[in-house]
Amino acid sequence: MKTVKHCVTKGVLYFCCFIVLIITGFPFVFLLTNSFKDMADYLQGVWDLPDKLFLGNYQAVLQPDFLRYFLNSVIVAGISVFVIVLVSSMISFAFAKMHFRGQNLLYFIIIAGMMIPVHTTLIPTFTLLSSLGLRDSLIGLCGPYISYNIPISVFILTQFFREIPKEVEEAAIIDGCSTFQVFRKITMPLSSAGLSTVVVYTFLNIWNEFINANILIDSAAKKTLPLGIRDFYGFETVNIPAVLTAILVGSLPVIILYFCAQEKVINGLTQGAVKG
Amino acid sequence: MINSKKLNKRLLVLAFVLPALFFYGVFNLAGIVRTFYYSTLDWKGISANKTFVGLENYIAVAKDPLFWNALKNNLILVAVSVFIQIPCALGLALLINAKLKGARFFRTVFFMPMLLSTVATGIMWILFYDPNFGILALLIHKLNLPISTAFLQGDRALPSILLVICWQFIPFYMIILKAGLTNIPEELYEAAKIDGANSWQCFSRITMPLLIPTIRTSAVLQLVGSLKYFDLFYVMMGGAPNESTELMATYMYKKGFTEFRMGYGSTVAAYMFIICFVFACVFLFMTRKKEDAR
Amino acid sequence: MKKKVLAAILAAAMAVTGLGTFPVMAQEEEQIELTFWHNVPNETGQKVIENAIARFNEEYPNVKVTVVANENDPYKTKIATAMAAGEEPDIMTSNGGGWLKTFVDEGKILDLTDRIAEVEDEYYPAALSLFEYDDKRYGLPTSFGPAPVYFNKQIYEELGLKIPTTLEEFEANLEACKEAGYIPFTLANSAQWPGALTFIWLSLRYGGKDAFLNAYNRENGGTFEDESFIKAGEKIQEWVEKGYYPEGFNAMNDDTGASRMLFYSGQAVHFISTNGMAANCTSEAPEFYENNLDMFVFPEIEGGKGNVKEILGGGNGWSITSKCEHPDEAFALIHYLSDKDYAQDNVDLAGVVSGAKGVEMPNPIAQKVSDILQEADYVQNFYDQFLPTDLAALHKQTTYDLFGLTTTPEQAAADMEALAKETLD
Repeated sequence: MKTVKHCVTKGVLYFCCFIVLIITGFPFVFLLTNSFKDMADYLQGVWDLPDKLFLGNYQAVLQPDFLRYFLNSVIVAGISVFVIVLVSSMISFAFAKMHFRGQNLLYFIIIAGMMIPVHTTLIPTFTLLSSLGLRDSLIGLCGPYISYNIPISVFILTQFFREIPKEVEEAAIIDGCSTFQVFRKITMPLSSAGLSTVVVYTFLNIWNEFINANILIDSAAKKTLPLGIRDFYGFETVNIPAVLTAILVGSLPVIILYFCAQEKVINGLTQGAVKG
Repeated sequence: MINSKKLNKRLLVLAFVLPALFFYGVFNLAGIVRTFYYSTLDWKGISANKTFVGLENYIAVAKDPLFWNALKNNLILVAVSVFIQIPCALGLALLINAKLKGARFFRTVFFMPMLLSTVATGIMWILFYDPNFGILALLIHKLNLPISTAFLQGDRALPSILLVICWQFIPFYMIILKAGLTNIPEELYEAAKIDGANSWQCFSRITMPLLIPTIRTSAVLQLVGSLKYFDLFYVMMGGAPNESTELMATYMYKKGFTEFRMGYGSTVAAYMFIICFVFACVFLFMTRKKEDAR
Repeated sequence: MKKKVLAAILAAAMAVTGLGTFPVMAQEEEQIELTFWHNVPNETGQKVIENAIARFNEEYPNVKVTVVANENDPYKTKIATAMAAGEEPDIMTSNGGGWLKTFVDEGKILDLTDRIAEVEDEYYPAALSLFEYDDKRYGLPTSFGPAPVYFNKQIYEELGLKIPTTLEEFEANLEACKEAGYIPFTLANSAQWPGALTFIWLSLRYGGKDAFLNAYNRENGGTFEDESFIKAGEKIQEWVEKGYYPEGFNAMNDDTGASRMLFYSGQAVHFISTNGMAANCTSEAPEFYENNLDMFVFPEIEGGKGNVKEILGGGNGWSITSKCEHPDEAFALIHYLSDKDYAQDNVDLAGVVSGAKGVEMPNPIAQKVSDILQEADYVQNFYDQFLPTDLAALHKQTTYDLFGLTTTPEQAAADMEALAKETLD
């Protein structure tokens, strides 16, 4: 009796899994099949399997330009995420572990940064970076990317650091560690989970960011991947299968990265989220 | 001696605080300050031609029914995010937490929507929703259902877009909540079973209470994210959201960048900022109280 | 002070990582740089621009042209931001009309009246008029064409239909298409402008060009509540109710090809669209272009004040910003970017008809476009481009609502007039 019930439960669970699998996975199958069609084929039947393997979209997408966009995105996201994690964890450490005047006020001011809608920042950012001569440069682009991701990172990390028991750090200080050493050797390693939450969250944000990049980057050589993908999505001539292919190819690195690193990411998110 | 120690401590705090503050001050603070400055101007946002009008814009926005309508849509989005996305994410988290074969595979695929960029998601779902060629329309035609296939039209546009937002973001919260589940010690459940607790009791007495902190974090992220949301509403409505799909952020964009009323648009942004801030503060305050009580 | 420190730090970071390039401090005196932003995102269009710049550089080897290509929507955001920051490019593109006028009114666009007077004869007057306000000219046209009624000529043959010369005949054709199981019109209206084309054609035919011009200029008692606008709205709603449009057209997206799919696949017979449609068709469905595509000018309405010589159309053009330090070179450049050679190149390579005269049309479709332009004595720009930006937004919204049957023609007209009173009077 019990095993029958058990089997039914399992069956239902698998059925649910299957449904969700279709809902979340199907779009990717859709992208894949349409990437092998030309526009005429696509217009014939969006949902049909391609009757021949058309590779023109991949040829169009996988040009040296695309590789450059990809590289630019890697550079921008890499530098930004690194700096975000560094400076956010430092200030979060100060919020969680130190006491100073105006601490709460400062914390709230930083958190308030989460509430600015992106479009109101465009004009100040543009003005500032052009007066510094940093518009249309990858480093310039990192500026807003770093700063606009700081509030949320601080929000997550501060709550996380607060969960680390005081005793651990006090013991370290008695052993002669300086505050910097405590931060580097105790707090950071113990928070690797929280840090990876921030890494994933900000990385995805920056990898897909379009609005700031559009305003700040002019030259083709400095375009990031979302800008490159948008190039395929022209104003009057729209080649949809090529757009879909670009979407697929553009997401592929992240998907592969996620497949490879998912255990770490999930473990990180796992603990990070609980503490956060 | 004491003085130098105090100085040292201050320098230390500065060393930890300054780098983040540097970026924050240069970009974020400038953004906030300028938004409030622009909001007091009658300014097209084009040339140096601007007139100070004080609070005139604030009064005009407060009287603008379209702004309140946009706020209403934002609040619907908040409600859906908190009361639909999070429970669904919890359900999925429980599903992948159940000891099924292939759980790792399921978990991977379930997370994939989160990895797609918003523009990509938007374009894809526009194609899915197409009233003639879309997969949903084809399904409805095949089954001969008496349902209109115009998913993005009129009153149905909002629910249709909300569905896509759910599709995109539930996976993220699923992973966060799954994390919370993993951290609940197995022994608690074993002890409960010995005491004769059934599955529902296990869930309501052990799982839920221990998940509350995680849910709280998710809720803050959802709250702030929903109040300043822009992307999918803009992309999926072909750049022209109308009354049923206008959000505060798309309204701000329309006023500031399409109709060239930058002063007015900035005022909308200022209201957004204030509303967001109040909501978040109330929420954080409530959260903090609970933490202290424990 | 703070800014300087910041600059130093960031510059140091740049030097270390070797990512940025320092702005060139010392320029050779005769070297000139012109920045040029456009919204021609497709490859063939950009090739045409490159060719023109190459020709320009033969005459002006000392001028370096920095081209920034954008898609339309992002372009508009970008230029608005750059304007606010006072960092606009030397040369920019626009559709003329109310959008450009906003910048003209703010003193951001260079008055080109005298310069254009010297080359005026090379262009169609209607094309130049897109960039004309109060008898002053602010731009040269790069693309220019009518927004005709495209139709599938094979279906016309199959059903034995003739090109209509009156609205009555047109409606008889639509009914015949409907009865034969075809969708009379294809339309994807989510961006709101595609449906507005039908509204403009109808009001142009009911009221003639003066109905709109009088309403816009607030003269001769003209208003946006003129009966021509109301009749246009009524006709649209009649067609919607008769089922002449595809299901859910107000929710369909023109950018992702929803309307063209119905047209190319032979499900829909007519398509009222801009001149860009023909260009799209050459690359998207070359066989359809060859065998099926044809067009006519929206027919006259019996009793209406408009006539067949008044057509709906629009285009793009280049303007020079007031901030440009080398207006002579910049004007020479936009002349190269719009002259006869450019126009020939544009229609040969990209299939786009331009505003310059004397071009040989490479195929019947392009020839037809050119014929329509030459026979026209008035070209009505799209209202949403012609009107000031807030009125334009309302025009699109009310037309969208008319199509969606969520407003009445009278209400739509009254809403337009109310805002017009506020902004135009």
